[in-house]
Amino acid sequence: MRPLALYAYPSGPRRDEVLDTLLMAAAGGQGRRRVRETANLLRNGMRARLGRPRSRAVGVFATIVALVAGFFAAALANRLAWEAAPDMPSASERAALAEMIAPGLPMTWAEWSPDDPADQRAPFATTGGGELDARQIDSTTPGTAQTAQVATYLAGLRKRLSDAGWRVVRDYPSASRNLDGTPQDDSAAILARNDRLVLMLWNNHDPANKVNELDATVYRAEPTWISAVTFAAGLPGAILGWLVFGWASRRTEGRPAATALTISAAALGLVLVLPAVLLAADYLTVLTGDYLPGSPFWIGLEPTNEFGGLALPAEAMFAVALLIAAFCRPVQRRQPQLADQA
Amino acid sequence: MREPTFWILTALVDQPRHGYGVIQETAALSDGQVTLQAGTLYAALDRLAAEGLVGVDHEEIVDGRPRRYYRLTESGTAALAAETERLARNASTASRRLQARKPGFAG
Repeated sequence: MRPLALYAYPSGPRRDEVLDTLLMAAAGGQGRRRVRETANLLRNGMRARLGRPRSRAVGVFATIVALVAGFFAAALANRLAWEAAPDMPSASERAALAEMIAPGLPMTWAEWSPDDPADQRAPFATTGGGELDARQIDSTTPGTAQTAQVATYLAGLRKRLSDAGWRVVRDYPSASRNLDGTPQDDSAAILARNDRLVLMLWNNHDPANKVNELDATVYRAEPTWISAVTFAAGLPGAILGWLVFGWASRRTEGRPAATALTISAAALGLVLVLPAVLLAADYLTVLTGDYLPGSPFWIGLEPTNEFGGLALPAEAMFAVALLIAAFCRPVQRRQPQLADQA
Repeated sequence: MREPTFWILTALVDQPRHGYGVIQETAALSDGQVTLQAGTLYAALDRLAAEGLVGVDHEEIVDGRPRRYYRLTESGTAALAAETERLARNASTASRRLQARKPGFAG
């Protein structure tokens, strides 16, 4: 039976040639360690897809392209999966949240206000200022003498959160600061989450400016299945990136001008998309439970993001690289040919 | 030149061989020290062909599959000769130094 790993090789006689060798080795009584053999065929077959057998740089370039392609695929999968995310908290859940955050206070939740009202139920949209945000509910509640005791109030909130099964991710002062770094007031914030929701709460307390209020925002936490889908989509995306790069590499092989142009366009595209990729590294915090969907890992691809304006030209550069490759007619492959005979 | 490359070229000195023939010959010549996987062999052959050190001598079709026989080119022969000379020099130098060291150990 033909090992599936043979399909790692580009189409052509090489697949059959390798199969012939494997069959002869088996018939010759050479023990086959199938796992090792499969790994070897996959590794060398995927390398063969890149052409340019003398080049080491081509493997490095292909790896970078594959990682970026994986990122694009994961970003797309994540965005699409969020369409099927669980609903926002129900009315009773909102009431319970309010009671936990500010017992006895008249806390009410407001729906978010995307720039485009049609996005009201969308999982992500731009809000005031054009920044992308995740769907959320917000509340601003006037503080009391109790909430003005910031440390005491937050200690109580931490206990209520813990009792309700929440985990405090971060707890930090949020006061405005003087030029010398000293805080102007004793405002503080807390970030907590459970399996379903993420709570950001600011206890704003600035007596000098008569500020005393609780600001709360609740997001949906990313469900585990969306994280799984995101990672799962990254792998085929990376493989596709490798295959497309290999196709372009083989088509331009033996054509120095086309190679230089293709590499230049692709390299420029990679540089342009680099900020978005670096921002995406934040997604690894999903493994520790610290990931916040309010700033999705693919935010660098959004046109409204400060780096998002680079994503479109980056994609254009990749398209240019592929077009150059598409217009190249492959020259004689460097794989051993009968024509090589003296 | 890496060791598998050296043995692949050496395996092709006396006659053209197909892929499995190269695997068998390298194992025999290296006393079993080098056991090439098929994927590794063909990656090496592609690289050596791109460098002009090996070429395809002829091809036969067996059970509908191509079986190519690879041969050493003139460049490949020269490269192997140069590498052999380099290794011999290295071995000779090391031998001389080891010989010179022996009395010290004995005394």
